[in-house]
Amino acid sequence: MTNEASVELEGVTKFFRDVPALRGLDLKVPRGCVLGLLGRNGAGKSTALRCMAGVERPDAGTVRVLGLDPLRFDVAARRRVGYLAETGVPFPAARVSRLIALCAPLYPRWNDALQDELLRRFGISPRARLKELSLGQQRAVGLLLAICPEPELLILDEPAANLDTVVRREFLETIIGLVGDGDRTVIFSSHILSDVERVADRIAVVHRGALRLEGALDDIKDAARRVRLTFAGEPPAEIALPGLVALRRRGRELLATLIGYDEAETARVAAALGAHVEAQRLGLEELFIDLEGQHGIVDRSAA
Amino acid sequence: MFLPIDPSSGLPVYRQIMEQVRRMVVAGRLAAGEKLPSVRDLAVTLGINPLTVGKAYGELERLGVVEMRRGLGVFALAPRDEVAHARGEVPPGVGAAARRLVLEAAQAGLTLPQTARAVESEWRDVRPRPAITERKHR
Repeated sequence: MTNEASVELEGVTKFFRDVPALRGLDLKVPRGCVLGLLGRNGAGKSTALRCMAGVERPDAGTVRVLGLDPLRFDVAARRRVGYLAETGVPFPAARVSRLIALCAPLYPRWNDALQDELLRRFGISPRARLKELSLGQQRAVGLLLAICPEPELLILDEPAANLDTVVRREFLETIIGLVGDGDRTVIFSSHILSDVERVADRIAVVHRGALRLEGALDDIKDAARRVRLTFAGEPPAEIALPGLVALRRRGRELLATLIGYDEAETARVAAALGAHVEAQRLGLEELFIDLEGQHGIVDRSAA
Repeated sequence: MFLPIDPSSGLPVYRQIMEQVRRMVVAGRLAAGEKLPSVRDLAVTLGINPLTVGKAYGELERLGVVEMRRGLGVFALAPRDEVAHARGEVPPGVGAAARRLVLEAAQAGLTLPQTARAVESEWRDVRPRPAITERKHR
């Protein structure tokens, strides 16, 4: 894997009427990685992906995809990027075979074997009309059209939304089958954090149109802890711990969520306050919830 | 090869794989010279990113637990010889783990015999029989 960026966003800003969807989003996606893009509804994930795919024009900032401006992609560049939009299928009345026959000749590297494997895997008859397919199968056709050209960069907007567990797993296995050779980059958004933990090696969290957290998933997990500080009496209202993202009070305990956990420093702070300290690792879901709770620092002592 | 992995755990998946493989080697459930699944096969079986499996195998090789033979696959190596440590030298990895254990145990208020019992129980769990006795049977 090289350090060359596959996608680079700098200060990308986008308004819809006067509502900001992106507020100066900076994001660098290294080539060869699988990036899970996380964020709450309305955080700007889809807009960011649409800017990368060249279907949305930012109001400010720069977008570089494979070193180029996606709005000025020529045919050759467009063949190198696959994009699955959040919703919709093209030509709902068309048969699957017809749609494939329209798309495949546009791509010199179209993978027929992969196409047949995906149709089989998702139980899609080429003769079926798109509108007759289940939601999951329609998504699968979209995925097929995005990946059969063998793109270097794959942008998938909520590929697994509304799919049942079994089809979702098929989706994940399909994506897993595409990576690992170190050259192909996959960027996908998802609300299903257990999927992200399986497939992504990097994550980026978007919060209100800006980057909140980005890095290798393993590094983030290694740096994240939930620390329980138990006091003899009333705990202090505030505590200065490195990397604090959320703080909760429960009786004589403070529960602190940290990214950038420093064992020695935490022990020192706890000892100075006369508190007993216990640190636990936490999964992505708990971390995300703490990160997104009311801008991080929440006090639930009233509850 | 059965590796129970929990992707939702706070422990990175590559570290979970490493720990499981190390346990299997130490317990003799993965014999020296035995072939491990390929990166791609294990990734598909576990439903995880191949980069994660590759990272785990790479780290295991660095630790001398497995050996990657180019074009052939990944093979388990024998656990280090017990005789080599007969003089009582403690390898750095073991020393560091012992320091962490003592810190945890002391903070939890355990006595030395209680801590030793915890170590013993874990030892029996991982290495049910001493490896040397097992070799005599064969």
